[in-house]
Amino acid sequence: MQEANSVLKKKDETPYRFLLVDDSEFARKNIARIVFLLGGVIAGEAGTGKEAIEQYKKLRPDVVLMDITMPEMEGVDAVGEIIKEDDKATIIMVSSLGHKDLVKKAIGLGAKHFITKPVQVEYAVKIVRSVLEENGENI
Amino acid sequence: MENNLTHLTDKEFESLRVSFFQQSFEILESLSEEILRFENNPDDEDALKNIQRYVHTLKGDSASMGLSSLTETAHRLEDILHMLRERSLQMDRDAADLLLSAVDIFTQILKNSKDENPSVVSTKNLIERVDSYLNACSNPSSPQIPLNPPLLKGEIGGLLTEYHQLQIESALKDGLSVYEIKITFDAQCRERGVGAFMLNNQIAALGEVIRWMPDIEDDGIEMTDEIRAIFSSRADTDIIEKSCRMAGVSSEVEIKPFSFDSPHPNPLPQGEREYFAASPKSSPHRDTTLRVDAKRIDEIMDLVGELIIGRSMLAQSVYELRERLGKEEVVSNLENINSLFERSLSELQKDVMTVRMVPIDHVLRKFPRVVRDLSIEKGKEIRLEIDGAETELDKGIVDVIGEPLMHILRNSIDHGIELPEERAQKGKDRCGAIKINSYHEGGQIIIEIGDDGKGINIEKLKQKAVEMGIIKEEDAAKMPDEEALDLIFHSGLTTADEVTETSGRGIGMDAVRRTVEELKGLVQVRSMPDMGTKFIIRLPLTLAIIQGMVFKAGEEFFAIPLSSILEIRRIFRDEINTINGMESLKWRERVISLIRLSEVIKHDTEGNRLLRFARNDTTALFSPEQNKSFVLIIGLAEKRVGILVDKLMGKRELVIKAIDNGSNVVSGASILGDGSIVLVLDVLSLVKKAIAAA
Repeated sequence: MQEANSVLKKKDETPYRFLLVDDSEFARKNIARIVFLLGGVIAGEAGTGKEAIEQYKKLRPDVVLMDITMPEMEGVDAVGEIIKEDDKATIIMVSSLGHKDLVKKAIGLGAKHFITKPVQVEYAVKIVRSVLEENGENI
Repeated sequence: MENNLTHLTDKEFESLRVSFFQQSFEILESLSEEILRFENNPDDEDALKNIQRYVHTLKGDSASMGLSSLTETAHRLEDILHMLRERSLQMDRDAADLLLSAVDIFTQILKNSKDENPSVVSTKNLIERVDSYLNACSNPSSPQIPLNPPLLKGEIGGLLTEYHQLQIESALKDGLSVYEIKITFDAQCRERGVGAFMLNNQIAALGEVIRWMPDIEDDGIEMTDEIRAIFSSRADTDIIEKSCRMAGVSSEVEIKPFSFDSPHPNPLPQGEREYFAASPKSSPHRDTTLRVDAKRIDEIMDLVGELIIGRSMLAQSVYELRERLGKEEVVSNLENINSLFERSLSELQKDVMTVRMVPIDHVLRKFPRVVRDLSIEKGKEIRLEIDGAETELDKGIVDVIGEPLMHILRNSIDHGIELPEERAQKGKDRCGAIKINSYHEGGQIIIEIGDDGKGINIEKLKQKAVEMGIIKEEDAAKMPDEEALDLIFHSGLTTADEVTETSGRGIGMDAVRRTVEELKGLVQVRSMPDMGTKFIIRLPLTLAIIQGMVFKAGEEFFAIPLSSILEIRRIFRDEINTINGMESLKWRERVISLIRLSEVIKHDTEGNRLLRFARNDTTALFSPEQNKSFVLIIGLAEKRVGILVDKLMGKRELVIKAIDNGSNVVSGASILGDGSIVLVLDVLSLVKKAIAAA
């Protein structure tokens, strides 16, 4: 277990690469703080579920932080598509309160965890860190 | 109340208390039903199972509310139930009596506690009866059932249904370990339902979750700080513990071996709700039902009424704008908005109405018990048949209609149905029948209570009425039967007359009539010698909205509740007779007074703002070019009165608004779509006024 505030690195000592998916640019900026605190890098951003899938295929990020409601393709559907593409994908849902059933569905499809909006950054960092550590154990 | 829920705030406790009483009274009603069902069919295992569950639930609930006398009595009762289950006891009338007395005592304990009445309900007598019953019945060869020590304070066992207990027992038998897992949520976790869902996914991989408390699908979980699981597994505790630790979801995890009597020190409201949900009455859709204070729905209904009136005023203004501006776009837009409002409002109104509707079963479910007890008391054999218990009506009506119905029922048992020997002599089935039927008909609800007893002795009734000076002897002879029967609703006749006396129950047939009238309904009675008596009650579906017949008299619009109208017929000028200045009409072989509303209102409202009705009565009625019109025959008990109408506008749904009008013949006002005001007439005072004038 690493120190709570220490920077998280992959086994090859490179930083984790994140794909941020949210239709609101402001929300993406906000989520970016999580990435910053974890010492990760932003590999790409997407504003719709469709873009998220394209970006995922192109960039193969380590973590996807995925909004649950978006135009063109809902986050839940994007989760299903991404997992189909890569069943080891690490996706964490980001959703405002009241989408309980959608979040459960996303988790059922293979998302690893969830963060509720408005994002409390330290709490979110704790969740992302635990998911990544868990992954590390399983690899 | 001394409770075991001291960790709750006053407000939480109060709301828990309210739901405790509500649910417990419901359970008690279901309990009596099941006891009667079981008495009728001692092979009905489901009935017994339900009885056991209900008593068990009451025991557990009352323990957490600190009602120890109820808890202990329920516990003793379980011994009897256990023996019935084992068939070392036979269900018979004595056993049923004992169980039903227990229901009565429970009801009394709960009532006292609810009203904070400090008087103590003695359970000593009942417990002695239970003991002597058990002693008398116990087979010397069968071992005495050991009494469990009375440590039932909110035990976790109480949160489990028999099904869960069975699962636990079979898991233990299979060599699995059963644990009680307590998980405290991370204080920052905000979708706890999702968190619990993830926890469930995790640990379900290691074994079987027998029960989550509260149910993780329950919305209440969002307010819970901790959840418990009864979990059976072969895995080690540290592996289970690890899978329960989930960053951002759980903060503390405690695992211990499960025990049926382990104390459950923190039964949260959600847990309690689960507890009730575990009773067999609960519907599978419980997550989506809520209990709401009826007052709040009334407030919403009131607001909807305001909106509907506002909308019709808007419609009128839009109409005027159209007249003035013609085909302006802004007018068309307003018209569209208006019709959108109209549609949505009528949907809204319908929806709110539906929320207020409850099945009449709420009232009728008490009746089988009354029939049983009273027929035993009177030495009669009576079968009760209930049809249409699912028929829905307004909660406000359900709340008050019970007593009149009960009175009619008692009357039928007491005076209608004959003794078995008498029935046999008449060639009737020894067992009498009382049928209750309720159904919807034309925007009204009809409730019929009929028996196949001896019928009402009409001659005796007339004689009594003459003696009491209610009718004159010469009138009595020619009084048609239908009219004479209505005499039983006369207040003078109910107190002393043997025919209608009801063993001092406190309310007579006149009170039945009064209650029904207050609900804007109508009660009628039919009776045939030796064939039986039938009461027919017509009620509006709801109190806030009436089905009214709207008509014009003079220049004004009026409405009368449809439920009060017996007949609408044409009337020709030469059919009207004038006797002593009173106009009357011959209708179905009787003479009824006619009312001209302009007269009544003028007379009634002298000196107040309704004076504008006071025009000399040269109304349009029977104008030279027209010598026929309509008359509405309205009825209240045996009274019949006709109202003369200039023009019938038709049947409308009217949202009643109370008005302070200084006129007691007008009960409220409503607004028609075109904005015109309709005065809704109070039939009761209208008839009284007409009778007084005659």
